[in-house]
Order: sequence, then structure tokens, then C-alpha cells
Amino acid sequence: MAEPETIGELLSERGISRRGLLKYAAYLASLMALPPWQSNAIADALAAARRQSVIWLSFQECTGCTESLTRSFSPTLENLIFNLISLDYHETLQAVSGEAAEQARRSAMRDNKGKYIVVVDGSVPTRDGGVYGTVAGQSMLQILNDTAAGAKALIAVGTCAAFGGIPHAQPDPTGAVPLTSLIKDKPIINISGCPPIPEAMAGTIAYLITFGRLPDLDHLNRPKSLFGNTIHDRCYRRSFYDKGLFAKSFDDEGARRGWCLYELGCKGPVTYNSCATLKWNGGVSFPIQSGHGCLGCSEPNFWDKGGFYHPLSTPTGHPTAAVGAAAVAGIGVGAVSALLARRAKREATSTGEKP
Amino acid sequence: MPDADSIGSAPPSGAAVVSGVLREVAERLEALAERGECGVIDLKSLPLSDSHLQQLRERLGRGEVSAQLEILGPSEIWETRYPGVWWVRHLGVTDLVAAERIEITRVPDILSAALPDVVTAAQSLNDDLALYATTRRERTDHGRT
Amino acid sequence: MTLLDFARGPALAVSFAVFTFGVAWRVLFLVLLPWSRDRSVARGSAPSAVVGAVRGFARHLWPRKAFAGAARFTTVNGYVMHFGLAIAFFGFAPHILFLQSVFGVHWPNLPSGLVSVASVVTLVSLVLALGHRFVSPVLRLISTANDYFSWFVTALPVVSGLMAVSHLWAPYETLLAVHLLSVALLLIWFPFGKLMHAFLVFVTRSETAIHYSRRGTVL
Repeated sequence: MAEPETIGELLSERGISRRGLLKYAAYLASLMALPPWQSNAIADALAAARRQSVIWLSFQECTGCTESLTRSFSPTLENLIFNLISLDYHETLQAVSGEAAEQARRSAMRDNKGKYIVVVDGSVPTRDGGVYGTVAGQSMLQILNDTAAGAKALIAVGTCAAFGGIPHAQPDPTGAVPLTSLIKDKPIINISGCPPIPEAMAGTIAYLITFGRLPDLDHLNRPKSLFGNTIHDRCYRRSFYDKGLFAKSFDDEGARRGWCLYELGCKGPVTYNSCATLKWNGGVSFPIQSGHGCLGCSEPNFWDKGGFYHPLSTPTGHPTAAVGAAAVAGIGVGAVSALLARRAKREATSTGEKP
Repeated sequence: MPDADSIGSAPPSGAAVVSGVLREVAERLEALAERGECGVIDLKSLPLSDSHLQQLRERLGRGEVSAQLEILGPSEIWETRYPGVWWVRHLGVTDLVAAERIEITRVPDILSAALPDVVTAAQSLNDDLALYATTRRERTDHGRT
Repeated sequence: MTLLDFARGPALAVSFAVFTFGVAWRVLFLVLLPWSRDRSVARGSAPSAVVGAVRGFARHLWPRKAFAGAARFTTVNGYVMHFGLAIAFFGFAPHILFLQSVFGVHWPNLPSGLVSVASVVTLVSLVLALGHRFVSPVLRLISTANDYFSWFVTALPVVSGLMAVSHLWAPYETLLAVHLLSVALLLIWFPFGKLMHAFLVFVTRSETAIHYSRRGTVL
């Protein structure tokens, strides 16, 4: 039998009816904040589209992003995404290894020149020519530049690829940078989070396949539909914040009653992500619902923002030395100027002038 | 663990959204009646808590038709007390709601068989019949010898 | 570094240092100045300097009947503004966290709604004070840039704080950053302008009270 040309044919071959695609389209429209009446058109577009060639590059990362995306195993709606793409290279998931794996990447790049999507998780080490991260004898920096050259678009999944993340955190020994610092001539979508919400990754890829263009992005290149609101804005504990009811420790009465976690360092008010609405593990819960404040993992430099348990309204630095020095200097200047005044008075008195 | 629903919902207040949704349903139903225009309201995109959804379901009630679908996980569709207004709920992994919407239409598209599926079905039914005929012939042939 | 990172980090650190330097300088300078000795003979009925100072300070908390009419507005409005500011500053949970992280002490917070009301009242009172300064010919005559700027750096944290709480016009992170920066500005200006009265009011009023009580004047 001939290779299926379109996603519709492929799904039909795999026993998934057009109804399945309609259902997926309804889910996708809701996820990506598309007009709900467009779901029929989305299903048609997906059915007629070719499978999207995807090359997944893993750089300075922990594989948590891949874990997140592949976490649900059952052949269900959320996993339909794996029928929409042809994952041509992914070091963790592909069966082949060594030279055969690199060959797969090169042939995908050749066969789909200008049409493939590059997904990157992990930041790119740039210090000392990028020697701190190599795959198959090539630096990650080199691999990225080579692979991105023929790509249609790049998706940076995870905070490391999007903003540098943990490798970029102080003292940043490898000179880790995000994709946007290196690739200037291709569209880049950032799906930040540590890890990102799986639906956010899958939904964005599906959007690209369906419409052939980028979704609306915010100033940090993140899809507005998923990163348009703060955690705080959609948090079910918000009413307690408004009433001024705060948990003071993780095991006090307020914590048990589910009061706001602002005082325990929750970064929800300044963190843009969909955790409060999409939630995690297929919608079971999210950190705040489990009793822990938001770490702000989908924001740039979240690791270096003065501590996860320090409330947002507090200063991040403890300039004890500077303040101490300022006090000493103030006392010194005050004392000297007072002494000068005393001397001036004494001289004035001794010369007979009235003070 | 605190129950998200008992604690109150995100602003704006859910009660206002419930009546807002009902007004929109009424408007769209009028459009369907007068001009044959179909409409969809995505409930997941609205700040509705479970109890507000429950309220909404009760206000709309249940009508004559309901259907259980098994497509990449279960789905449920029922016509509300108001013909032309359908409640569509798609479940995904572990029975969590993947999409929940109110469709204002004569019949939701997902209920009718799509043409490509019908084409495939016609093909596969013919294949099945041919296969059945072949096996029967073979069996009769075996019986004779 | 985002604006909020800058506000929470370097901006506050610098403002703490400048504030400490300025206050230390001005207070110590005042204490060590060659004060003229009061050469008058104290009246027999005169109380000790400390008692005189306390008594005079207390007496000045409210104007005498003769001045009640003229001073009523400034007195009442002044109290409203200062109490409102104190309620908002010491009662709001995020402020207590701020103070706790700096000084290590904390206390129970007031409901956010009450704090918002206090802040709005403070703001109204600040606007009235400024209006009065414009309208009153005498006040207008003696007002300097110092007065207006001190008013400005006091009003700014109140306005930006209210905006941050109500998430008005800009994202919370921006509003919070602006609020913290306005506090930094206030702290930096504090020792060098009229805001220093928060410390010096005790010095000046006591000084006046001692001067008069020594001469037997009952204020």
C-alpha cells in the first residue's frame, strides 16, 4: 500500500475517523483560544495537510520537556499530535543511534528543506566556541546553526531554550543562551515553562500545521492564547488575596483552608502561563492547588529572582554592608561638619564677633 | 486539599457569566431560527467553576436526544430542553474534559458520518463481502472434497 | 534584568543606603552643633526640660481655641493623611512582609479592603492639602520647590500602590516595580527635604516647648 499522503489518509489508515479529527479540532480551538466555530475548518485543514516534519534538538537540558510532552501513553485525544507530525530526529525517542541517527536528521533536512520545524529543548552553550556541549563531534551551536538554516520555523520548548533557564542561571559557566540570541532570521516561538505544559507544546505545533503560520505572540515570543494571563489572574485562590487572607506557613490554619500563598513567595502575580486553567497531569492539579506557591518557571531568569520563598513585595538584595557603610559615612560627615561649625563659632567668639 | 470549587471562582463573577452565556445562547438560537446560522460557545474559555457549569446545565435541561460517542475517548452529546441547542462534552485522558461547548445547530457535525469515512466504509464493506464470499466458497469447496 | 528585578534589587539597596547616610548625617550634625546655652534663669515653677518638652509636644497636638477656626482644616486633614498613610503602610500584608524582610519583625495584617479605603482617604487628603497650599495666599507665598517635591514623592507611592493592588492600566509586575521605585525615590529624598520632619518634628517642637516652659509660659 502506498504511503498515506495526508494526515486524513494516515488517520483513516490507523482507524481514526474524521469524527476523531473533529473532536481534536474542538479541543485545539479551545486550547489555542480560536473561534470555536472554526473547528470544522480546522479539521478539514488538518485532514488535507501533510504530516509535519519535525527535528527535535536536545541541548543543555534535563529531558523534562520531552517527559512532559510524552507523559500520557494511552492512544487518546491529547496524543493525536503524534499522528500530525513526523518526528524525524529526537535523540531520546528515536530507535536508531550513532551515525544512523545523524543520517536521519540530515536526510530530513534535505527532503524537507524550508518546510521542517525545529524544536529545541535546552539552552545553547556558547563560551569557548561552544565546546561545553557536543553531539556526534559537533558543537550544539554548530548543529543549531546548520539545522536552523533550512527550517520553516523554530519552537523553543522549555525555559532553557526560550530564555536560557537553569544553565543560564548564575554563575552560568557555559555561557548558555536562548535560541532568540542566536537565530535572528527565522520565526521563533517560545513555549516556556520548566517543563512547559504538554498541551501548550502540542497545541502550538498543531496550530502551526493547521494554519501554516505562527499564532499571536507576546513580547517574549510566547503564544498569547497560552501565556496571556498571569497565574494569579486565573487562580482559584485569588479571592483570598483580594480579601487579604494569607497562609503564613505551609502548615498553618490558613494553608489548610487554602488561603493565598503570596506571603510564602508565590510568583503567580508576575508569571504568565496556563497552569491555573489547563493544570497538569491531564488536568489533575497544579502547584498552587497542591499547596505550593508558583515558582515563576515560565519567566526569564526565574532562578535568579531572589529566592522562591521570598514574597514579591520584598527587596531581593540584603545590602547590609552598603547600609552599614552609609551609616558610618553619614555619622562621619555629620560629626565633621558639626566640628567645623564648632570651630567656626569658637574662632568667631575669640575674635570678638557675636556668634 | 482545598476543593477548588468551594473556594470561589476567578473574577469576573461566575453568576454573571452564567446569565451572559444563556443570553448568548438565546441570541444564537434566534439567528438559527431566522437565518439558519449555526453557532458555538466554548465553555472552557469562560471563567466558569464546576458549580456554575452545573447551574448552566440545569437551566438548559435535557431534551429528546442524547448520544454516547467513543472517539479517542468518550464523548457525550445531548440536546437541551431547547431544540437546536446541544451540549457537547468531549473527554480525553482519564475522563478529564478536553472540550466542552454548546452548539447551536440542527444537528452537531460530529454526529453525522463524514464523507471520507463513508467512502472508506463503502470500500471496506465491499472488501468484507468479497472476503466472506471467498471464504464461503473455499469452505464449500473443502466440503465437496 | 526586568524593571521589577531592578526595583527589588539595586534600586532599593541604593535607596536604603542613601536614606541611612542622609538621616545619620543630619541627625548627628544637629546633635553635635554648638547649641547656644539658654542663659535665662529658669522660673521656680518651671518643670524639668524633659517634662516641659513632653508637655509642650502634647499641647501642640491640637490647636488652641483661638486658632481653631484657622487651623482646623490643616490639623484635621493632616491627621487624616498621616493616619491613613500609617494604616496603609503598617497594615497591608505585602508591606509587613517588606518590613519583616528588612527589620525581622512582623505583626498581623489588616484586611486588604480596609487598607484600600485608607489609601484612597490618604490620597484624597493629600490632594486637599495640595489644593489648600495653592489656594491659601500665605501658604503659596512660603511654599518652595522642596514642599511640592516632598508632596510628590509622598503621593506617588500611594497612587502607584493603589494601582498595583487594583491591577489598573498595566501588568502587575510593572505596577509593582513602579511602586517600589517610587518608594526608593521617597527614601532617597527623605533626609534632604521636608520629609525629614518625621524625625525633626520631635526635635523642633521639644526645643520650642523647653524654651517657653523654662520661662514659665504655660502653653
